[in-house]
Amino acid sequence: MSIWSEILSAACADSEGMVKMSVTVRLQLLLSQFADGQEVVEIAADNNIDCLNNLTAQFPGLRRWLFTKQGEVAAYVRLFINRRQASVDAELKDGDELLIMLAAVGG
Amino acid sequence: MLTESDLIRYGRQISYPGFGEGGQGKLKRSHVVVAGLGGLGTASSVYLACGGIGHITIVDGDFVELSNLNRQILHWEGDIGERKTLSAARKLAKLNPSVEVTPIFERITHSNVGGIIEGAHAVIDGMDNFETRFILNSACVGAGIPFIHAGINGLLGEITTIIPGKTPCFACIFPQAPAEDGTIPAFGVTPALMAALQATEALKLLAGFGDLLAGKMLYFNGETMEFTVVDLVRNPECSVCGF
Repeated sequence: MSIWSEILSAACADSEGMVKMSVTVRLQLLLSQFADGQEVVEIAADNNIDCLNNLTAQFPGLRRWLFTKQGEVAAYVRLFINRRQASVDAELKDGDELLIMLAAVGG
Repeated sequence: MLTESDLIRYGRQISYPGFGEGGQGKLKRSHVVVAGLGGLGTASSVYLACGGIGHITIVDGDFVELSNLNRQILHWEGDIGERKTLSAARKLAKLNPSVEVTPIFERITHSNVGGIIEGAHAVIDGMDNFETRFILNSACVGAGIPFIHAGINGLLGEITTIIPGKTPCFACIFPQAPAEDGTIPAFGVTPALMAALQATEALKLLAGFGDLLAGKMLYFNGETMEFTVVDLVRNPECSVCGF
C-alpha cells in the first residue's frame, strides 16, 4: 500500500476502523458559498444520506439548505451519482462523483 | 400550406438542412400552450411566434406590475395594471400577425387545466411555482402532451422535456413539492436563456428533427457559464406516470 493510499484509508476510516468510500461531491453555486466557497469537496461516505450527513458535519451552514427541520432531505434537493439521478439512500462507490443540485423554482 | 409571405418570413430557417418547407409547415399546423407569462413565458412566446407556430395559447391570471419589468419582456412600462394576457397578446400580434394567439386570463387549476391544454401539441412551463407545475404535469401526462419544463433562480436555470410514457415526468423528478418561501431572485437574462432553450425544444419536437432533452436535465450556471447535463430516472412508483 502506498503512503497516499494509507493516508486516504486513515482519513476515510470511521470510529470503528471501517473504511468508507471516498467520493467527490460537487456543489451547486448556491450551496458552495456555505462550504467555504468550495464547489468540489472530498467526503467519506457509503451512501448518499451518509454523504450528506458527513458533508453537513464538515460545513454546518449547508444543513439548512439540504435538510428539513425534521431532519429529512429537503424535497428540492436533487442528487446525481456520476451525472445520473439517484435516490437519497443510493449506495456510493469509491471514486463516485455526487452532484448536489437545488431545484430552480422561479419563472 | 405555406404562403409566399411565409416563405420570405421564415426563409432563413426553412434553409436549415433537414428542416425545410416541410418542417415549417408542421410548425404552422402546431398549437402550443404557454402556461404563465412571466420571465419564461414572455420570452418563449416571442420565439414561438417568430418561428411560426400556428396557434399559441397564452395563459396567466395576473396583472402587470413594475417589479415584473426587469425580466418579463413582453410587458412594458405603459402596461402596468393591465392583464398580462392582453399585454402579451397585443405585442405578439404585432410581432407576427400570421400567428393565432389565444389569451386565457385564468389561474391554472385542477378544474380548468384539461380545457386549457386540450388539443395542444406541446405545453411550455412558464410557471413560478411547483403547485401549478404538478397540475400541468399530471394533465399533460394524462393527455399524452409533451411538457417542456424550465425553472430559474438568480443566475441558475434548469430545463427538461417530458414526453409522456417515454421519459421521467415532473413528479418522477420531484416526488414531493418543495417548500416555497420568499421571493426568488431573478435576472432577466436567466429566464430569457432558458425560455430560448424551451422554444428550441418545441421547434425540434414539433418539426421532428434534432435531439431533445428527453430524460435529461440541463442545468445552467450563469455565474460560471457552465452547462451541466444529467440523466433523469423514471420512478416506477411515480404517483403520476408509474404503472
